[in-house]
Amino acid sequence: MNAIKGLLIKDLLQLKSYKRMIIIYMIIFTFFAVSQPHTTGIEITIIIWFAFGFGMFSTAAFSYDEISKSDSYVLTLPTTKKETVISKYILIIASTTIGTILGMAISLIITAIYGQFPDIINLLVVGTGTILVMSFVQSIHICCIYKYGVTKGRILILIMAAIAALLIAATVFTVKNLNMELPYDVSFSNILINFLPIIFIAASSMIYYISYKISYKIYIKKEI
Amino acid sequence: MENILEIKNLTKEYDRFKLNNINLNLPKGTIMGFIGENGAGKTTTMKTVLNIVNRDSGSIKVFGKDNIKEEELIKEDIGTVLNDSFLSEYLTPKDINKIMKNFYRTWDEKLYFKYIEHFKLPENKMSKEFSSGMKIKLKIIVALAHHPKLLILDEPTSGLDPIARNEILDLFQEFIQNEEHSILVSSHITSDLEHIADYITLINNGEIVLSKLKDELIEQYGLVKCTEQEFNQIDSNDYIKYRKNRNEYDLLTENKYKFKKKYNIQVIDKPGLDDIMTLYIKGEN
Repeated sequence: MNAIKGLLIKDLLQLKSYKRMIIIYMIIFTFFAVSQPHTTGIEITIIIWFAFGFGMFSTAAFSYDEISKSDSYVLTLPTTKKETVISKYILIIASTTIGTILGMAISLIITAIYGQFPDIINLLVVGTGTILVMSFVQSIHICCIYKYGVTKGRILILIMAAIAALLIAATVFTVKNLNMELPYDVSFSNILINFLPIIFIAASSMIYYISYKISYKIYIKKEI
Repeated sequence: MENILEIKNLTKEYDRFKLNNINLNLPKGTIMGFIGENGAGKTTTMKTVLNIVNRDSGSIKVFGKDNIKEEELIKEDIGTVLNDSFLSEYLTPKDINKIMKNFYRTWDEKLYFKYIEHFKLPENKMSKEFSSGMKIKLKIIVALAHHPKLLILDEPTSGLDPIARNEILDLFQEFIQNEEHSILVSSHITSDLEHIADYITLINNGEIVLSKLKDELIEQYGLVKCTEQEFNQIDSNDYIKYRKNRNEYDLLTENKYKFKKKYNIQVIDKPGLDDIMTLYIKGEN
Protein backbone atom coordinates (compact mmCIF):
# COMPACT_ATOMS: atom_id res chain seq x y z
CA MET A 1 0.00 0.00 0.00
CA ASN A 2 2.87 2.35 0.81
CA ALA A 3 4.33 1.70 -2.63
CA ILE A 4 1.05 2.87 -4.21
CA LYS A 5 1.22 5.98 -2.03
CA GLY A 6 4.81 6.54 -3.19
CA LEU A 7 3.79 6.12 -6.82
CA LEU A 8 0.92 8.59 -6.40
CA ILE A 9 3.18 11.13 -4.70
CA LYS A 10 5.68 10.72 -7.55
CA ASP A 11 2.99 11.45 -10.15
CA LEU A 12 1.54 14.37 -8.20
CA LEU A 13 4.96 15.95 -7.67
CA GLN A 14 5.69 15.56 -11.38
CA LEU A 15 2.39 17.17 -12.22
CA LYS A 16 2.95 20.14 -9.91
CA SER A 17 4.37 22.09 -12.85
CA TYR A 18 0.82 21.97 -14.27
CA LYS A 19 -0.54 23.74 -11.17
CA ARG A 20 -0.52 27.21 -12.76
CA MET A 21 -2.01 25.88 -16.00
CA ILE A 22 -4.86 24.18 -14.13
CA ILE A 23 -5.67 27.38 -12.23
CA ILE A 24 -5.68 29.40 -15.48
CA TYR A 25 -7.87 26.74 -17.10
CA MET A 26 -10.36 26.93 -14.20
CA ILE A 27 -10.43 30.75 -14.23
CA ILE A 28 -10.96 30.93 -18.01
CA PHE A 29 -13.82 28.45 -18.02
CA THR A 30 -15.49 29.93 -14.95
CA PHE A 31 -15.22 33.41 -16.49
CA PHE A 32 -16.57 32.06 -19.77
CA ALA A 33 -19.55 30.51 -17.94
CA VAL A 34 -20.34 33.61 -15.89
CA SER A 35 -20.07 35.93 -18.89
CA GLN A 36 -22.55 33.92 -20.97
CA PRO A 37 -26.26 34.78 -20.91
CA HIS A 38 -27.74 32.41 -18.39
CA THR A 39 -29.10 29.37 -20.15
CA THR A 40 -29.64 25.86 -18.91
CA GLY A 41 -26.67 24.41 -20.74
CA ILE A 42 -23.88 26.45 -19.21
CA GLU A 43 -23.71 24.57 -15.88
CA ILE A 44 -23.52 21.34 -17.80
CA THR A 45 -20.69 22.72 -19.95
CA ILE A 46 -18.77 23.78 -16.84
CA ILE A 47 -19.00 20.30 -15.29
CA ILE A 48 -17.93 18.63 -18.52
CA TRP A 49 -14.98 20.98 -19.04
CA PHE A 50 -13.74 20.63 -15.48
CA ALA A 51 -14.03 16.83 -15.51
CA PHE A 52 -12.37 16.66 -18.91
CA GLY A 53 -9.60 19.12 -17.97
CA PHE A 54 -8.66 17.45 -14.70
CA GLY A 55 -8.93 13.98 -16.21
CA MET A 56 -6.71 14.85 -19.13
CA PHE A 57 -4.11 16.75 -17.07
CA SER A 58 -3.56 13.66 -14.96
CA THR A 59 -2.77 11.51 -18.00
CA ALA A 60 0.27 13.75 -18.44
CA ALA A 61 1.82 11.60 -15.68
CA PHE A 62 2.35 8.98 -18.39
CA SER A 63 4.27 11.52 -20.50
CA TYR A 64 6.65 12.30 -17.63
CA ASP A 65 7.31 8.59 -17.14
CA GLU A 66 7.94 8.09 -20.83
CA ILE A 67 10.25 11.10 -21.23
CA SER A 68 12.41 10.12 -18.25
CA LYS A 69 12.05 6.39 -19.08
CA SER A 70 11.23 6.01 -15.41
CA ASP A 71 9.16 2.83 -15.87
CA SER A 72 12.24 0.61 -15.59
CA TYR A 73 13.60 2.47 -12.61
CA VAL A 74 10.30 2.43 -10.74
CA LEU A 75 10.22 -1.35 -11.10
CA THR A 76 13.59 -1.62 -9.33
CA LEU A 77 11.87 -0.19 -6.23
CA PRO A 78 9.93 -2.43 -3.85
CA THR A 79 6.79 -2.42 -5.95
CA THR A 80 5.20 -4.53 -8.67
CA LYS A 81 3.80 -3.93 -12.14
CA LYS A 82 0.33 -4.45 -10.65
CA GLU A 83 0.80 -1.63 -8.15
CA THR A 84 2.12 0.75 -10.80
CA VAL A 85 -0.98 0.17 -12.96
CA ILE A 86 -3.33 0.50 -9.95
CA SER A 87 -1.69 3.80 -8.95
CA LYS A 88 -2.25 5.28 -12.41
CA TYR A 89 -5.95 4.36 -12.32
CA ILE A 90 -6.33 5.82 -8.82
CA LEU A 91 -4.72 9.06 -10.00
CA ILE A 92 -6.92 9.37 -13.07
CA ILE A 93 -10.19 8.39 -11.35
CA ALA A 94 -9.46 10.73 -8.42
CA SER A 95 -8.57 13.69 -10.62
CA THR A 96 -11.64 13.21 -12.84
CA THR A 97 -13.85 12.98 -9.75
CA ILE A 98 -12.27 16.09 -8.21
CA GLY A 99 -12.71 17.95 -11.52
CA THR A 100 -16.37 16.91 -11.66
CA ILE A 101 -17.03 17.93 -8.05
CA LEU A 102 -15.32 21.30 -8.61
CA GLY A 103 -17.35 21.77 -11.79
CA MET A 104 -20.54 20.96 -9.90
CA ALA A 105 -19.64 23.35 -7.10
CA ILE A 106 -18.95 26.19 -9.54
CA SER A 107 -22.19 25.39 -11.38
CA LEU A 108 -24.07 25.65 -8.11
CA ILE A 109 -22.45 28.99 -7.35
CA ILE A 110 -23.23 30.35 -10.82
CA THR A 111 -26.86 29.21 -10.51
CA ALA A 112 -27.06 30.87 -7.11
CA ILE A 113 -25.60 34.09 -8.54
CA TYR A 114 -28.45 34.15 -11.04
CA GLY A 115 -30.84 33.76 -8.13
CA GLN A 116 -32.11 30.33 -9.03
CA PHE A 117 -32.57 27.37 -6.79
CA PRO A 118 -30.19 24.70 -8.05
CA ASP A 119 -31.63 21.37 -9.12
CA ILE A 120 -29.33 19.07 -7.17
CA ILE A 121 -30.60 15.84 -8.71
CA ASN A 122 -30.14 17.11 -12.25
CA LEU A 123 -26.68 18.32 -11.31
CA LEU A 124 -25.81 14.93 -9.85
CA VAL A 125 -27.07 13.18 -12.96
CA VAL A 126 -24.97 15.44 -15.17
CA GLY A 127 -21.91 15.03 -12.90
CA THR A 128 -22.07 11.26 -12.72
CA GLY A 129 -22.98 11.07 -16.40
CA THR A 130 -19.85 13.07 -17.18
CA ILE A 131 -17.78 10.67 -15.08
CA LEU A 132 -19.34 7.80 -17.05
CA VAL A 133 -18.36 9.34 -20.39
CA MET A 134 -14.89 10.17 -19.06
CA SER A 135 -14.45 6.63 -17.74
CA PHE A 136 -15.16 5.32 -21.21
CA VAL A 137 -12.76 7.72 -22.96
CA GLN A 138 -9.99 7.35 -20.36
CA SER A 139 -10.30 3.58 -20.19
CA ILE A 140 -9.60 3.27 -23.88
CA HIS A 141 -6.91 5.95 -23.68
CA ILE A 142 -5.01 4.27 -20.82
CA CYS A 143 -5.10 0.85 -22.51
CA CYS A 144 -3.77 2.48 -25.71
CA ILE A 145 -0.97 4.17 -23.74
CA TYR A 146 0.08 0.88 -22.14
CA LYS A 147 -0.04 -0.86 -25.48
CA TYR A 148 1.41 1.75 -27.84
CA GLY A 149 3.02 4.44 -25.65
CA VAL A 150 1.97 8.01 -24.95
CA THR A 151 2.37 9.53 -28.43
CA LYS A 152 0.57 6.78 -30.34
CA GLY A 153 -2.01 6.55 -27.54
CA ARG A 154 -2.74 10.26 -27.89
CA ILE A 155 -3.10 9.96 -31.68
CA LEU A 156 -5.47 7.02 -31.26
CA ILE A 157 -7.64 8.91 -28.77
CA LEU A 158 -7.77 11.91 -31.15
CA ILE A 159 -8.87 9.62 -33.96
CA MET A 160 -11.53 8.16 -31.66
CA ALA A 161 -12.70 11.66 -30.69
CA ALA A 162 -12.91 12.61 -34.37
CA ILE A 163 -14.96 9.50 -35.14
CA ALA A 164 -17.26 10.23 -32.17
CA ALA A 165 -17.71 13.84 -33.34
CA LEU A 166 -18.52 12.64 -36.86
CA LEU A 167 -21.07 10.17 -35.51
CA ILE A 168 -22.74 12.87 -33.40
CA ALA A 169 -22.77 15.26 -36.39
CA ALA A 170 -24.23 12.53 -38.61
CA THR A 171 -26.90 11.78 -35.99
CA VAL A 172 -27.84 15.46 -35.66
CA PHE A 173 -27.93 15.83 -39.44
CA THR A 174 -30.12 12.74 -39.84
CA VAL A 175 -32.49 13.71 -37.04
CA LYS A 176 -32.87 17.23 -38.44
CA ASN A 177 -33.57 15.90 -41.92
CA LEU A 178 -36.29 13.68 -40.49
CA ASN A 179 -37.82 16.77 -38.84
CA MET A 180 -37.43 15.30 -35.37
CA GLU A 181 -36.68 17.41 -32.27
CA LEU A 182 -33.31 17.19 -30.56
CA PRO A 183 -33.39 16.80 -26.76
CA TYR A 184 -31.41 20.02 -26.07
CA ASP A 185 -33.11 20.52 -22.78
CA VAL A 186 -32.66 17.26 -21.04
CA SER A 187 -35.13 16.81 -18.25
CA PHE A 188 -35.08 13.76 -16.10
CA SER A 189 -38.69 13.64 -15.00
CA ASN A 190 -38.81 9.93 -15.12
CA ILE A 191 -38.87 7.83 -11.95
CA LEU A 192 -35.40 6.47 -12.70
CA ILE A 193 -33.81 9.87 -12.15
CA ASN A 194 -33.03 9.25 -8.48
CA PHE A 195 -31.17 6.09 -9.38
CA LEU A 196 -29.29 7.42 -12.39
CA PRO A 197 -26.29 8.74 -10.40
CA ILE A 198 -25.87 5.34 -8.75
CA ILE A 199 -26.28 3.54 -12.08
CA PHE A 200 -23.74 5.87 -13.74
CA ILE A 201 -21.21 5.44 -10.92
CA ALA A 202 -21.63 1.65 -10.99
CA ALA A 203 -21.20 1.62 -14.78
CA SER A 204 -18.11 3.87 -14.55
CA SER A 205 -16.59 1.62 -11.88
CA MET A 206 -17.18 -1.40 -14.07
CA ILE A 207 -15.62 0.29 -17.11
CA TYR A 208 -12.54 1.41 -15.15
CA TYR A 209 -12.19 -2.08 -13.66
CA ILE A 210 -12.32 -3.81 -17.05
CA SER A 211 -9.86 -1.26 -18.43
CA TYR A 212 -7.51 -1.84 -15.46
CA LYS A 213 -7.60 -5.60 -16.08
CA ILE A 214 -6.72 -5.10 -19.77
CA SER A 215 -3.96 -2.56 -19.01
CA TYR A 216 -2.45 -4.87 -16.39
CA LYS A 217 -2.42 -7.77 -18.85
CA ILE A 218 -0.71 -5.57 -21.44
CA TYR A 219 1.84 -4.22 -18.93
CA ILE A 220 2.76 -7.57 -17.38
CA LYS A 221 3.73 -8.90 -20.80
CA LYS A 222 5.48 -5.72 -21.87
CA GLU A 223 9.27 -5.69 -22.09
CA ILE A 224 10.41 -2.43 -20.58
CA MET B 1 31.29 -18.42 0.87
CA GLU B 2 27.56 -17.71 0.85
CA ASN B 3 26.16 -16.23 -2.34
CA ILE B 4 24.01 -13.12 -2.25
CA LEU B 5 22.98 -13.64 -5.88
CA GLU B 6 22.65 -16.93 -7.77
CA ILE B 7 21.64 -17.09 -11.41
CA LYS B 8 21.11 -20.57 -12.84
CA ASN B 9 20.59 -21.44 -16.51
CA LEU B 10 18.95 -18.10 -17.24
CA THR B 11 17.61 -17.81 -20.76
CA LYS B 12 15.80 -14.94 -22.41
CA GLU B 13 15.18 -14.78 -26.12
CA TYR B 14 14.39 -11.75 -28.25
CA ASP B 15 14.01 -11.59 -32.02
CA ARG B 16 17.67 -10.83 -32.63
CA PHE B 17 19.31 -11.58 -29.32
CA LYS B 18 19.44 -14.40 -26.83
CA LEU B 19 20.64 -14.43 -23.26
CA ASN B 20 21.84 -18.00 -23.32
CA ASN B 21 22.09 -20.22 -20.27
CA ILE B 22 23.59 -17.64 -17.93
CA ASN B 23 25.11 -18.99 -14.71
CA LEU B 24 26.51 -16.53 -12.24
CA ASN B 25 27.22 -16.46 -8.50
CA LEU B 26 27.99 -13.35 -6.52
CA PRO B 27 29.41 -14.13 -3.07
CA LYS B 28 28.66 -11.97 -0.04
CA GLY B 29 31.17 -9.26 0.71
CA THR B 30 32.44 -8.99 -2.88
CA ILE B 31 32.24 -6.73 -5.90
CA MET B 32 31.70 -8.29 -9.30
CA GLY B 33 32.60 -6.30 -12.39
CA PHE B 34 30.36 -7.21 -15.30
CA ILE B 35 32.00 -6.42 -18.61
CA GLY B 36 31.23 -6.87 -22.28
CA GLU B 37 30.49 -4.98 -25.48
CA ASN B 38 27.38 -2.83 -25.87
CA GLY B 39 24.44 -5.14 -26.46
CA ALA B 40 26.24 -8.19 -25.03
CA GLY B 41 23.51 -8.74 -22.43
CA LYS B 42 24.76 -6.99 -19.28
CA THR B 43 21.74 -4.72 -18.80
CA THR B 44 19.28 -7.48 -19.76
CA THR B 45 20.84 -9.79 -17.16
CA MET B 46 20.61 -7.10 -14.50
CA LYS B 47 17.03 -6.23 -15.45
CA THR B 48 16.10 -9.92 -15.29
CA VAL B 49 17.46 -10.10 -11.74
CA LEU B 50 15.23 -7.12 -10.89
CA ASN B 51 12.27 -8.79 -12.65
CA ILE B 52 11.88 -5.84 -15.01
CA VAL B 53 12.52 -8.19 -17.92
CA ASN B 54 10.59 -11.48 -17.91
CA ARG B 55 12.83 -14.52 -18.14
CA ASP B 56 12.03 -17.48 -20.41
CA SER B 57 13.67 -20.11 -18.20
CA GLY B 58 16.15 -20.59 -15.39
CA SER B 59 16.13 -19.42 -11.81
CA ILE B 60 17.37 -16.37 -9.94
CA LYS B 61 17.85 -16.25 -6.20
CA VAL B 62 18.67 -13.08 -4.33
CA PHE B 63 19.44 -13.40 -0.61
CA GLY B 64 18.43 -17.07 -1.09
CA LYS B 65 14.91 -16.08 -2.17
CA ASP B 66 13.23 -16.42 -5.57
CA ASN B 67 13.35 -13.03 -7.30
CA ILE B 68 9.77 -13.28 -8.60
CA LYS B 69 7.93 -14.93 -5.70
CA GLU B 70 9.44 -12.57 -3.16
CA GLU B 71 10.02 -9.62 -5.44
CA GLU B 72 8.98 -6.79 -3.13
CA LEU B 73 10.79 -8.20 -0.10
CA ILE B 74 14.01 -8.66 -2.06
CA LYS B 75 13.89 -5.18 -3.57
CA GLU B 76 13.78 -3.65 -0.09
CA ASP B 77 17.44 -4.63 0.19
CA ILE B 78 18.61 -3.78 -3.32
CA GLY B 79 19.91 -0.41 -4.45
CA THR B 80 19.93 0.15 -8.17
CA VAL B 81 21.48 2.54 -10.65
CA LEU B 82 20.28 2.09 -14.21
CA ASN B 83 22.16 3.78 -17.00
CA ASP B 84 19.10 4.68 -19.04
CA SER B 85 16.38 5.23 -16.49
CA PHE B 86 15.64 7.23 -13.35
CA LEU B 87 12.89 9.35 -11.89
CA SER B 88 11.63 12.38 -13.81
CA GLU B 89 14.02 15.31 -14.17
CA TYR B 90 11.17 17.58 -13.08
CA LEU B 91 11.69 16.39 -9.50
CA THR B 92 14.01 17.98 -6.96
CA PRO B 93 16.15 15.98 -4.47
CA LYS B 94 13.63 17.05 -1.81
CA ASP B 95 10.76 15.63 -3.89
CA ILE B 96 12.68 12.39 -4.32
CA ASN B 97 13.02 12.07 -0.56
CA LYS B 98 9.23 12.47 -0.19
CA ILE B 99 8.70 9.70 -2.74
CA MET B 100 11.32 7.25 -1.57
CA LYS B 101 10.37 7.21 2.08
CA ASN B 102 7.12 5.59 1.02
CA PHE B 103 8.85 2.81 -0.87
CA TYR B 104 11.54 1.76 1.58
CA ARG B 105 10.90 0.89 5.20
CA THR B 106 14.60 1.51 5.81
CA TRP B 107 14.82 4.83 3.95
CA ASP B 108 17.28 6.99 5.88
CA GLU B 109 16.35 10.63 5.38
CA LYS B 110 19.34 11.86 7.40
CA LEU B 111 21.81 9.80 5.40
CA TYR B 112 20.19 10.92 2.13
CA PHE B 113 20.51 14.61 2.95
CA LYS B 114 24.01 14.03 4.33
CA TYR B 115 25.06 12.67 0.93
CA ILE B 116 23.17 15.46 -0.87
CA GLU B 117 25.13 17.99 1.17
CA HIS B 118 28.41 16.09 0.77
CA PHE B 119 28.10 16.09 -3.02
CA LYS B 120 26.89 19.70 -3.03
CA LEU B 121 23.60 18.98 -4.80
CA PRO B 122 20.96 21.71 -4.51
CA GLU B 123 17.96 20.31 -2.61
CA ASN B 124 15.33 22.46 -4.26
CA LYS B 125 16.45 22.48 -7.86
CA MET B 126 14.86 20.19 -10.44
CA SER B 127 17.42 17.63 -11.57
CA LYS B 128 16.96 18.74 -15.21
CA GLU B 129 19.11 21.71 -14.23
CA PHE B 130 21.89 19.46 -12.92
CA SER B 131 25.07 18.64 -14.82
CA SER B 132 25.35 15.02 -16.00
CA GLY B 133 27.80 14.32 -13.18
CA MET B 134 25.37 15.69 -10.59
CA LYS B 135 22.57 13.55 -12.02
CA ILE B 136 24.68 10.41 -11.68
CA LYS B 137 25.60 11.33 -8.11
CA LEU B 138 21.91 11.76 -7.29
CA LYS B 139 21.13 8.29 -8.69
CA ILE B 140 23.88 6.75 -6.57
CA ILE B 141 22.80 8.59 -3.42
CA VAL B 142 19.24 7.33 -3.87
CA ALA B 143 20.56 3.79 -4.34
CA LEU B 144 22.51 3.98 -1.08
CA ALA B 145 20.12 5.85 1.20
CA HIS B 146 18.00 2.90 2.28
CA HIS B 147 20.92 0.78 3.54
CA PRO B 148 20.75 -1.88 0.82
CA LYS B 149 22.64 -5.15 1.05
CA LEU B 150 23.11 -5.53 -2.68
CA LEU B 151 23.90 -2.83 -5.21
CA ILE B 152 23.11 -3.46 -8.86
CA LEU B 153 24.83 -0.75 -10.86
CA ASP B 154 24.61 -0.38 -14.61
CA GLU B 155 27.36 1.97 -15.82
CA PRO B 156 27.30 4.05 -12.62
CA THR B 157 30.42 6.09 -13.33
CA SER B 158 30.02 6.85 -17.02
CA GLY B 159 29.97 10.59 -17.62
CA LEU B 160 31.81 11.42 -14.41
CA ASP B 161 35.13 13.23 -14.32
CA PRO B 162 38.05 11.35 -12.68
CA ILE B 163 37.71 13.18 -9.36
CA ALA B 164 33.99 12.53 -9.07
CA ARG B 165 34.57 8.93 -10.19
CA ASN B 166 37.06 8.38 -7.41
CA GLU B 167 34.65 9.85 -4.87
CA ILE B 168 31.98 7.42 -6.04
CA LEU B 169 34.37 4.48 -6.04
CA ASP B 170 35.31 5.36 -2.47
CA LEU B 171 31.62 5.20 -1.58
CA PHE B 172 31.41 1.71 -3.06
CA GLN B 173 34.53 0.65 -1.17
CA GLU B 174 33.00 1.99 2.04
CA PHE B 175 29.77 0.12 1.29
CA ILE B 176 31.59 -3.17 0.80
CA GLN B 177 33.34 -2.91 4.16
CA ASN B 178 30.27 -4.63 5.56
CA GLU B 179 30.74 -8.32 4.77
CA GLU B 180 27.03 -8.82 4.25
CA HIS B 181 27.09 -6.43 1.29
CA SER B 182 27.81 -7.11 -2.39
CA ILE B 183 27.93 -5.15 -5.63
CA LEU B 184 27.24 -6.23 -9.19
CA VAL B 185 28.54 -3.44 -11.40
CA SER B 186 28.77 -3.13 -15.15
CA SER B 187 31.16 -0.61 -16.59
CA HIS B 188 33.04 0.22 -19.75
CA ILE B 189 35.60 2.02 -17.64
CA THR B 190 37.61 -1.09 -16.90
CA SER B 191 40.21 0.85 -14.90
CA ASP B 192 37.48 1.44 -12.31
CA LEU B 193 36.80 -2.27 -12.12
CA GLU B 194 40.50 -3.05 -11.86
CA HIS B 195 40.47 -0.69 -8.90
CA ILE B 196 37.47 -2.07 -6.99
CA ALA B 197 36.28 -5.47 -8.29
CA ASP B 198 36.98 -8.82 -6.68
CA TYR B 199 35.48 -10.84 -9.54
CA ILE B 200 35.28 -10.15 -13.25
CA THR B 201 32.56 -11.64 -15.41
CA LEU B 202 32.72 -11.23 -19.16
CA ILE B 203 29.60 -11.63 -21.26
CA ASN B 204 29.65 -11.85 -25.03
CA ASN B 205 26.66 -12.30 -27.37
CA GLY B 206 24.45 -13.27 -24.44
CA GLU B 207 26.82 -15.89 -23.05
CA ILE B 208 29.15 -15.79 -20.06
CA VAL B 209 32.62 -16.48 -21.43
CA LEU B 210 34.63 -15.80 -18.31
CA SER B 211 33.97 -15.41 -14.59
CA LYS B 212 37.02 -15.33 -12.35
CA LEU B 213 38.73 -13.62 -9.46
CA LYS B 214 40.22 -10.38 -10.74
CA ASP B 215 43.56 -10.97 -9.05
CA GLU B 216 43.80 -14.38 -10.69
CA LEU B 217 43.15 -12.77 -14.07
CA ILE B 218 45.63 -9.98 -13.64
CA GLU B 219 48.34 -12.00 -11.90
CA GLN B 220 48.16 -15.34 -13.71
CA TYR B 221 46.94 -14.45 -17.17
CA GLY B 222 49.57 -13.14 -19.53
CA LEU B 223 49.56 -11.00 -22.63
CA VAL B 224 52.18 -12.47 -24.89
CA LYS B 225 53.62 -10.36 -27.69
CA CYS B 226 55.49 -12.31 -30.31
CA THR B 227 56.56 -12.43 -33.95
CA GLU B 228 54.89 -14.56 -36.57
CA GLN B 229 57.81 -16.97 -36.46
CA GLU B 230 57.49 -17.38 -32.69
CA PHE B 231 53.72 -17.67 -32.95
CA ASN B 232 54.02 -20.57 -35.37
CA GLN B 233 55.97 -22.52 -32.77
CA ILE B 234 53.37 -22.11 -30.03
CA ASP B 235 50.95 -24.94 -29.30
CA SER B 236 47.37 -23.71 -29.65
CA ASN B 237 46.52 -25.35 -26.30
CA ASP B 238 48.85 -22.92 -24.55
CA TYR B 239 46.84 -19.82 -25.30
CA ILE B 240 43.17 -18.91 -25.08
CA LYS B 241 42.93 -16.48 -27.99
CA TYR B 242 45.25 -14.61 -30.30
CA ARG B 243 45.05 -11.50 -32.39
CA LYS B 244 47.25 -10.51 -35.27
CA ASN B 245 48.41 -6.92 -35.27
CA ARG B 246 50.52 -5.27 -37.94
CA ASN B 247 53.88 -6.86 -37.20
CA GLU B 248 53.20 -8.96 -34.18
CA TYR B 249 50.81 -11.33 -32.53
CA ASP B 250 49.03 -10.77 -29.20
CA LEU B 251 48.21 -13.94 -27.31
CA LEU B 252 46.26 -14.38 -24.12
CA THR B 253 47.52 -17.16 -21.95
CA GLU B 254 45.89 -18.51 -18.82
CA ASN B 255 49.14 -19.08 -16.97
CA LYS B 256 52.02 -16.82 -17.88
CA TYR B 257 54.45 -18.64 -15.58
CA LYS B 258 53.94 -22.01 -17.32
CA PHE B 259 54.13 -20.22 -20.65
CA LYS B 260 57.41 -18.56 -19.74
CA LYS B 261 58.91 -21.88 -18.78
CA LYS B 262 57.86 -23.55 -22.01
CA TYR B 263 58.68 -20.84 -24.52
CA ASN B 264 61.56 -18.50 -24.86
CA ILE B 265 59.49 -15.38 -25.40
CA GLN B 266 60.65 -12.21 -23.72
CA VAL B 267 57.55 -10.00 -23.77
CA ILE B 268 54.79 -11.30 -21.54
CA ASP B 269 52.87 -8.45 -19.99
CA LYS B 270 50.29 -8.28 -17.24
CA PRO B 271 47.05 -7.97 -19.19
CA GLY B 272 44.59 -5.20 -18.43
CA LEU B 273 40.86 -5.95 -18.42
CA ASP B 274 40.63 -4.16 -21.78
CA ASP B 275 43.20 -6.55 -23.26
CA ILE B 276 41.41 -9.59 -21.85
CA MET B 277 38.03 -8.36 -23.11
CA THR B 278 39.34 -7.45 -26.57
CA LEU B 279 41.14 -10.76 -27.02
CA TYR B 280 38.21 -12.85 -25.77
CA ILE B 281 35.76 -11.02 -28.02
CA LYS B 282 37.81 -10.16 -31.10
CA GLY B 283 40.55 -12.77 -30.88
CA GLU B 284 40.73 -16.07 -32.73
CA ASN B 285 41.21 -19.54 -31.29
